[in-house]
Amino acid sequence: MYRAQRLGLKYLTASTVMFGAMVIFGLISSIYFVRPGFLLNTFNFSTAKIVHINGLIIWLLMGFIGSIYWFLPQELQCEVEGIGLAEILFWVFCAAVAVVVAIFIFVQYGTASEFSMWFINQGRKYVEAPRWAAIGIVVVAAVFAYNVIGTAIKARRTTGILTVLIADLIPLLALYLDAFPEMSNMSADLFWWWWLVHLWVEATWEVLIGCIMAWTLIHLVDASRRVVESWLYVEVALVLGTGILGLGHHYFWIGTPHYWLAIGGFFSALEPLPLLGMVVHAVYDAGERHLQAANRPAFYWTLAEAFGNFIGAGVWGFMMTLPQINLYSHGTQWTASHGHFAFWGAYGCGVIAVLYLVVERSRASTGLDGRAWRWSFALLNIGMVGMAGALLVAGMDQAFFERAIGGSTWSAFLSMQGRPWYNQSMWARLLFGLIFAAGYAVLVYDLLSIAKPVEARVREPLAAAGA
Amino acid sequence: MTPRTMLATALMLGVFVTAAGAYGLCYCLARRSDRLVLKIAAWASYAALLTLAVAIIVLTPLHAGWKIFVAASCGAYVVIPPVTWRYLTRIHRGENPSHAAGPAKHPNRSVPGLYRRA
Repeated sequence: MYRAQRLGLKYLTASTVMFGAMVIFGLISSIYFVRPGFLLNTFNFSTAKIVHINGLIIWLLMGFIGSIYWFLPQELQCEVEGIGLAEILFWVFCAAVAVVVAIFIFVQYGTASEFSMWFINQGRKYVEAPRWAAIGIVVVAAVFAYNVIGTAIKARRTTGILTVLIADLIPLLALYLDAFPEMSNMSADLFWWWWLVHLWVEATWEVLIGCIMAWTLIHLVDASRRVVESWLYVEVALVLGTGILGLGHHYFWIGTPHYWLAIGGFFSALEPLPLLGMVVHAVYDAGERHLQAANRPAFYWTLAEAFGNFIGAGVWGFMMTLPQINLYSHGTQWTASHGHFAFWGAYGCGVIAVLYLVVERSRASTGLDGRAWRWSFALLNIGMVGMAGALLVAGMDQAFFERAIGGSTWSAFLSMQGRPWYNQSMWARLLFGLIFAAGYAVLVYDLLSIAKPVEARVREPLAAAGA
Repeated sequence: MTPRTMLATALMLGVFVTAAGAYGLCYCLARRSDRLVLKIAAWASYAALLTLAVAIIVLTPLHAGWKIFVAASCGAYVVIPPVTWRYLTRIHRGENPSHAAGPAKHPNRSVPGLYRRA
């Protein structure tokens, strides 16, 4: 095994731990909706939500980085350039995440001062990590980009997938720099902030997961590289074509010019079209393989990714993206429902597919098709569909009574909290959250217990070449 | 737009895309297995999509531009599955037969020689 692949394993392990942290803080966050006095003045909802959402970003980011460190040396048949630095930074990254989570839990917030911004909470939604940690993320991303590009230069060759990945690393790094400016004009601040939040997720992350899934298909089902690369180009063109200007649906109500209503609505309404193409591709490939693969868990999680992406991002997104609907649905639990489902379908399922593929390749493959993965697959997906469904009902109730009838007033918000459909949906969300957490526990058990390591299958590449 | 029409419109838009997905899924399964029931299910899904489009155009207070968009989407959704299918068939043609039919070539292997140098 290459050193980069060992590092990839470490990143994927850390990603799984962060997945668990995200689930725990998600469950804690959901309790406040049914017991508003829960942990009052000890650990407030706002802080639990911060850890939940930042945990989501970090577990997926670590999953992507780990996947790429795993596939890259196989792709170029050589060790990753600057791997020593990457190994050091992995521990720095983990330590920084631990320190930030500890600050969020024990310090929580500070006064409105430069000190708070640098050492407690940057105060910008989704990128709350204090500034020193944000700089750390830039350093990790820069070294990661150097690893990938440097390895291609060292190997003196590239592939279609790798070229797309390298092209994507530049906006991935550049857009994160958007986390730093401080603007006193709220509209201007939000205008650029959405470049980070939306374009990271619906442009650069889509391309990243596209590259990772392309490699996954090549290694999982012996998919032809020519076929996978052809499809990757089409998919990237379609996703970027709709996703970049789809950014406009975040510009509806933040003080930007009126034309964003048309641009944002139109391009985000186009987004289901390429997702339908992905569903067709998934069914085509599944039929070609007769639903059989050596690694069934990874194969099924790959299929779940295509369907989850279509339903979570496509169906849920289209319901609420046209401006006349979005005027009422924006920022309600409806949005949370879409966010949960879309992230799960587009990224979560893909990272879990890679986890199973890596487990298979780093250990013996016997016993991979047990019962536990089926349980975790069912529990996680039922839990997610249930949570998204419950949040959708709550969100629609909120859009109807609080926004459309109540006029988005503070009084309407407060009276909303006592409505039975809203409250029952919040209980249902907590119940399905527990099912999701049970699915996570079974997933971890399965990943730890299946296919025990076999030394003979994990040889040094040079030793294998020598033999 | 009244609160009731807002919810009704949103639900119709969601079911509209769901019908498109059901049409795509049934179309592919019908192409794969050549079963009449799947072909009927595919066209029934598309008929549902057209019905919803008409309902959205006639019954909802969306602006005219969005109604035109929904009507045009019906045309896009009907061609995406066959066009994608043909494209996939074409790019798979000429590949190694092991990539085009049947399960993976080495279903039981764990490390397919990936760690050897080329």
